Amino acid sequence: MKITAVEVYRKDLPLETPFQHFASGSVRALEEVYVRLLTDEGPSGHGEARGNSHYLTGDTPDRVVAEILQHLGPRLVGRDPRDWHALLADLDGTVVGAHGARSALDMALHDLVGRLHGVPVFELLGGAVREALPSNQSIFYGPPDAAARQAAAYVADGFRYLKVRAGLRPFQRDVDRIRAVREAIGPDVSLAIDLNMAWTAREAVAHLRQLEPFDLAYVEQPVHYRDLAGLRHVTQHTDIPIMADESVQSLDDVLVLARDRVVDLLHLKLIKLGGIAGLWRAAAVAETGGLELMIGQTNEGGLATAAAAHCALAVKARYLELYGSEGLVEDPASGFALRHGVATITEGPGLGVTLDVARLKPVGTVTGEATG
Amino acid sequence: MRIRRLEVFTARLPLEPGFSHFTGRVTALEEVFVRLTADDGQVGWGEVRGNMSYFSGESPAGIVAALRDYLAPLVVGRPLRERGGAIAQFDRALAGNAAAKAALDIALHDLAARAAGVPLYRWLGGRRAGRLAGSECLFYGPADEAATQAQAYVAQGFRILKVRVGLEPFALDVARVRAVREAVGNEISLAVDANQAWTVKQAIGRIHALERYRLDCVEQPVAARDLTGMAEVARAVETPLMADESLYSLEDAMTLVRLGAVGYFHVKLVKAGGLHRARQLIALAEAARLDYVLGQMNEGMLATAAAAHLALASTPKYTELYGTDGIVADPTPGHVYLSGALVVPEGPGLGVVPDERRLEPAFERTA
Repeated sequence: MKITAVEVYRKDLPLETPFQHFASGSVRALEEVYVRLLTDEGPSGHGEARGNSHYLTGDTPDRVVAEILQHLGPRLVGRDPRDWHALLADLDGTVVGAHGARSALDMALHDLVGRLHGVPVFELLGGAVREALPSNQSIFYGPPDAAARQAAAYVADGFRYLKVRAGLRPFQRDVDRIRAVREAIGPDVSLAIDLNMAWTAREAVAHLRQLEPFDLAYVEQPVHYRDLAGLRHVTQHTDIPIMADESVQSLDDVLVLARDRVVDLLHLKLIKLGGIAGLWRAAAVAETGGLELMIGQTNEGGLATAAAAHCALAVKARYLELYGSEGLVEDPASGFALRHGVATITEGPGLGVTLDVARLKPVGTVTGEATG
Repeated sequence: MRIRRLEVFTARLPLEPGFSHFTGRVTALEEVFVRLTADDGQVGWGEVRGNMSYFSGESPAGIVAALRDYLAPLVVGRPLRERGGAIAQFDRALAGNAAAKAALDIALHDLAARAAGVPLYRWLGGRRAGRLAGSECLFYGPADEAATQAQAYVAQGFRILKVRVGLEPFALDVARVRAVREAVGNEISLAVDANQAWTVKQAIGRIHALERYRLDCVEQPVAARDLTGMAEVARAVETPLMADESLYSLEDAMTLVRLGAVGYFHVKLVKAGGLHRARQLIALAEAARLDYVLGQMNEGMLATAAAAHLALASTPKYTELYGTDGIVADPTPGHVYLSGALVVPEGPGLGVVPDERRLEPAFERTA
């Protein structure tokens, strides 16, 4: 049993409505990179990574493709995929910061091994810890009445967890939006806010005091990702649980955040942690430190979202954020769905996803083994 | 696929010649076995050492009761796919009792891997390739016997040896460590294990005195719960410490990391509460860039096989899996050490099953 080739593909997935990210400007399409691992005995495995993640991980589509073709792919060719523990260890440190490339390959390897063993990937991760996958939804920037309408619509659709993007100036605009949303959804729906690093630690402490009446479930990444002292200060000076997102870029970050009690919760994403195995390890470290988790994703296609969903089934997490493949004009992957606030996967072998490879653009194949 | 039945058995495994521990002599292993049966007839087995009162306060009767009264209801009648949820509930249903949890966790893993038709090490992503070093232990006894035994282990292929220390007067320890080091030469890795025998002050002085014999590690110098004492010793000596009795739960592990108390985790399924928790401890060790050793109590082949499978799917510095040494008649056939390196049984799941006729039924619960 050997991996005979690593095929790399590209496809842009246009969004029905472009979204704004504070750092990225308008995003009109997800620029996805797909990989397919082929074996000498038939089964194959698929992985996906968002290419235009420059504002999140520093990745670009070309960089992800090049890292797979030049550095990481050759490490897998000729190897037995069932030795995935050793294969993944070999990928570590091969390219510094190769988040998307490593995540796509890790995903494909898990998909392949699940197919070889005839089990869904969540079974490889230890079995299900939950029966259903209730996802949150995000309310992006906009006026209070629009935010309230959007929130009410999500709740009517079945969502029980909402997150409002905040960090507008002056702060009163945030207060007005958060109040409008809380009034629209009532006290029983979980409401959180995501600052995407918009505040200083001093601002955060003052602002969160003002937000206490709105019963926030958590506050995500209030300060700059590098400002761990500030993040810890905020955590110590508010009763509202604080979640790290951008501050989690690696297992090393997870260790420091848990060891030094910097935050109360971590937002874990495959693309930040190098894939499924990395996310599992990060969750384990978080649990040793008593931190709770959100398992989420960046906006990406249905294959990557299904991989996040398998992790969410098998890893103990307080919150899930699995709406990343919503609003795509088309998606070559099928098998994952998010309906009425609840995510579902197809429980076939591997990731349970069917990928229409004919709709992807081939950009290269690795067939030779690493030479040194 | 549902778990239809859980059965618990006990077995007494006499040891020849037995071994001395600082609390007394152990002449037999009193083991507890778990068998799970799924609705399609597939079975999964688990085993743990029962007579560990000197080590963890656990006993065969206590383990059987924990399984019967608290843990069995969490798995019997439940789909196998939900085993992660069941294991997550163990700690909420019952504090401590890691051995009972380990027996059931091992049986769940065996069943899952057997159902998929793959060896457990493969199920966990491991491989047989390569040579994973094993270690052996020199129990209490005269210095010349320890030296002779050490040479015998080296002749068998072992490159890593551990000497039990903690005797009074301390000169006895010094004599044994010196004799062993002189007998095996400088190429063999040597550690000492004090099994909590020392105070912090004694530990610092005695480790300084033993460091001239080139120790790679000092295991559990002070009392299990004295984690700050471990840290104090660690700051005062050059040789890295290994936490054994200090390391049970995930919280223990993180506290040791926070205190910078150790260079090594000694991971044992029976302390961690099974494979799942052990893998989480390993994740922390790797994240914190600590070394870890995969070990076990003296226990039977089925329990030993579970640890060996995990060893092939992780990267321990070495293994300490000589637990079946001296068992006169193990109900489970096989061995995991060959010429000082690790081998595991091939075949689905753990690759071994015990001879049921040699086991004493304790109770069963059926859905």
